[in-house]
Amino acid sequence: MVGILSDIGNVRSKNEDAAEFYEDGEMGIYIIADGMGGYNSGEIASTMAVKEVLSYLKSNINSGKPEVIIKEAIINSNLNIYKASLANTEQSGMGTTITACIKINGELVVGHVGDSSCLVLNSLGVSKLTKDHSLVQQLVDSGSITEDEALTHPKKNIITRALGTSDFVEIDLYKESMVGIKKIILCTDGLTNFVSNDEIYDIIICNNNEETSRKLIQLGKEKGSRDNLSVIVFEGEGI
Amino acid sequence: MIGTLLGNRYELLEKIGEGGMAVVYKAKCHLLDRYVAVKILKEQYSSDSDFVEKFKNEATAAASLSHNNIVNIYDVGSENNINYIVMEYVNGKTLKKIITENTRLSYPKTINIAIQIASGLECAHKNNLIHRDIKPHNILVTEDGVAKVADFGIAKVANSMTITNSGQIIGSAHYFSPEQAKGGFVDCTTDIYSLGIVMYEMVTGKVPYDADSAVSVAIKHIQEAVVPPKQIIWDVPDGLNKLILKAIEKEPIKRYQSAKEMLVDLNRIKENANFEIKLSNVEDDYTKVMAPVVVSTKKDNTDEEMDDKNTDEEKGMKNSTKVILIALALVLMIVVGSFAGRLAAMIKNKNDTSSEVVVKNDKTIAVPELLGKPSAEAQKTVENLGLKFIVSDHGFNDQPLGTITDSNLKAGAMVSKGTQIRVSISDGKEVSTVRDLTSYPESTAVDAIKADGFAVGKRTTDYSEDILQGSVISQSPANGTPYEKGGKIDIVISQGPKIVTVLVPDLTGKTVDEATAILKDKGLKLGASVILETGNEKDDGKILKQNKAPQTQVNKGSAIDVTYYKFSKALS
Repeated sequence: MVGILSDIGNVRSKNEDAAEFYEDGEMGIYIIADGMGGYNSGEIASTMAVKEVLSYLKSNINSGKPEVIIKEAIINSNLNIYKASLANTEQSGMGTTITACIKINGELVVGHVGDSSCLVLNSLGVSKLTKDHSLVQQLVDSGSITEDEALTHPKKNIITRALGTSDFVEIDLYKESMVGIKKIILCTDGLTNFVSNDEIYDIIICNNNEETSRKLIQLGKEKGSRDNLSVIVFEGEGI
Repeated sequence: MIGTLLGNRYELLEKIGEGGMAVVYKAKCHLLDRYVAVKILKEQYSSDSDFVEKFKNEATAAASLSHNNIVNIYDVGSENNINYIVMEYVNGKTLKKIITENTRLSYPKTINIAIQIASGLECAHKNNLIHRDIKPHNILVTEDGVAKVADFGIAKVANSMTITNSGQIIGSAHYFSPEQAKGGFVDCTTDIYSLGIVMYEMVTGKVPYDADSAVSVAIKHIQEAVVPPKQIIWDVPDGLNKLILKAIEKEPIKRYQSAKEMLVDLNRIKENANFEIKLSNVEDDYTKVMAPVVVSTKKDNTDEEMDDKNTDEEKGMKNSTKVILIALALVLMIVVGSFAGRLAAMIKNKNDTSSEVVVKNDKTIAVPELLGKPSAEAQKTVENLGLKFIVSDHGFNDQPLGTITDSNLKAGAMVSKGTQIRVSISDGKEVSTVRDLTSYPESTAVDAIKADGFAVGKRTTDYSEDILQGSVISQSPANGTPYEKGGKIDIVISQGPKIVTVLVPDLTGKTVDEATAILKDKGLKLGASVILETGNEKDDGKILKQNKAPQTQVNKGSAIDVTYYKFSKALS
């Protein structure tokens, strides 16, 4: 079973996150997005991204290599969101992160833009597969700040890549063998900014996927997250 | 919004500006019969009550300030979910516009404006208010030349907002302090840093750290050594040069510790442009490098002191491998200077306010042609003539790396021994990394190539099983290659999968199993098979007809339907 939950959080008046999944036998598609900007249009961007990418993947996943199809899907959706943002002043400047996962033929393929995350649980614990496209990550990479300083940086939310903000979007692709991966977690930064990998491990190891998603969001809110929080938890291939 | 009456007294007349968070209107206050500026918080932020409260608190704190160099806040209010601040209406231009219009500002003008901004900051800091976003766009200058700092407290509110906001693309970081970029502790020296950057821009016409992306700019604030204003505009008075450098020290502890402290020095250099600004006592390689080229008007500047500094510098050079190009050139100059021997004495004897070392009536040396020469060769030539070689600037250029692209003195000009020749050196062509273009539609890929500063090279087409028709299959140079700007990138565009045709084989008389094998061999497959019963036992299992005639052309992968016999005793 898949655990999937999107919560408005403690203080926001709108939920700008979007999350959906689709499973067909062994094959599964899981997508999460965190919208931003525009005149209250963040949720339009994130919803468009999730729906469009999901529908593209569903109809094309068997017609080529999954990493190529996932890239096409994101490129395609980026153009649509960008066009919508130009066509409608209320939506001007809107954008969204996206982290889209396909589980197929014993492999996990991820297309990723922005600062939502894909984490995996294996015998070593919970670790992050994706790398944020954020100001703070770049400061860490350049050696300007330490990982610890990054945790308390006030501009943690500033992202350097997003879907829908220009006609070209650079996409990171990850391809992993499912061997040894027990669970996969997709989540938005409303969760990861407040809940550590160790805390996720403690919860995921003792609960089923639905319970896990509920408890993770509860913990994020208790720890003071002011953002929307979303999470998808699904099965890997076992250890 | 225009025509709305707020608080039963402020009538909105026209929109005069818009920022990320608010829209500013010119308005008429009917109670006091004067023009005011009304800043209205954008609707999307009004829904966050926590945020609105912070916005009001900060505005109220800023309203307690009253100073001629601060855009005064008169009133804070809200009605019908409209949250607004009423401010002094300033009829003038932003400092940004003034700098742009004038390319750069004169030193007296720069000092004058800086004194006014520092006075405004002093008042705010005394009231424990840090601005956090000092930039020329936030400084208004009236027609009478009065500078006023706007938007106190707003940056703090904006910061608190972005923490809760789910995401935001970073704005300009040109005036960011290193501690802001690092997310560290912010105090009044942060405003001093930003004011230093603004002064740098006023004097030179450009900001010290610039790059393609705001993130790279932020990183430069943290890591990159600054090119002193004097290196860009050589006649910047020494005092002003040092004052700016002190304000923009990377470590807050080395900067002016208060706006008042900075004001004292600003007023001194206003009287005497070459007043010697004392830099921080904290050990600092940079100031050591500069010290020997400073021409001091102080009488106690002895030869011994100069020699000591030179020796220190030589040691420093041996020990440190990380010397930036400009610093290196300066050090070289100092070393040469010490060989020349008389340099120190010449400097000492000069009371001139200029830092140029010129001994009058002694112009016996002709400046050699340097343009287009490699810098090492040029330096040797210049030094052999008894002149000094200084690299004052460097930048990307079509000429090869290290070539001299400009010089302050023309070839053939007559100069005296010891004259400084200041040159610009080419960094070679600007190089950028080629990005991945595969799978992007042709038009998007072309836009990206142009946006990255490259040119579109050959466009060819090919078939592809994987890549959609009209999208990029491959590129040259490949993803990740460092490539010079303006270079051509070739792309191959997909025409979709290649369609291969094959000739249909004759299947009559074959069994279904045989037919399946033959079709597979040809790249075809068996489609529907229809059974026809027969009484003739020897025809059992044999194909009698096929839906595509033998030798016709069909697409590879097509299915061929067949009809075959099945023996039936009843018919025999």
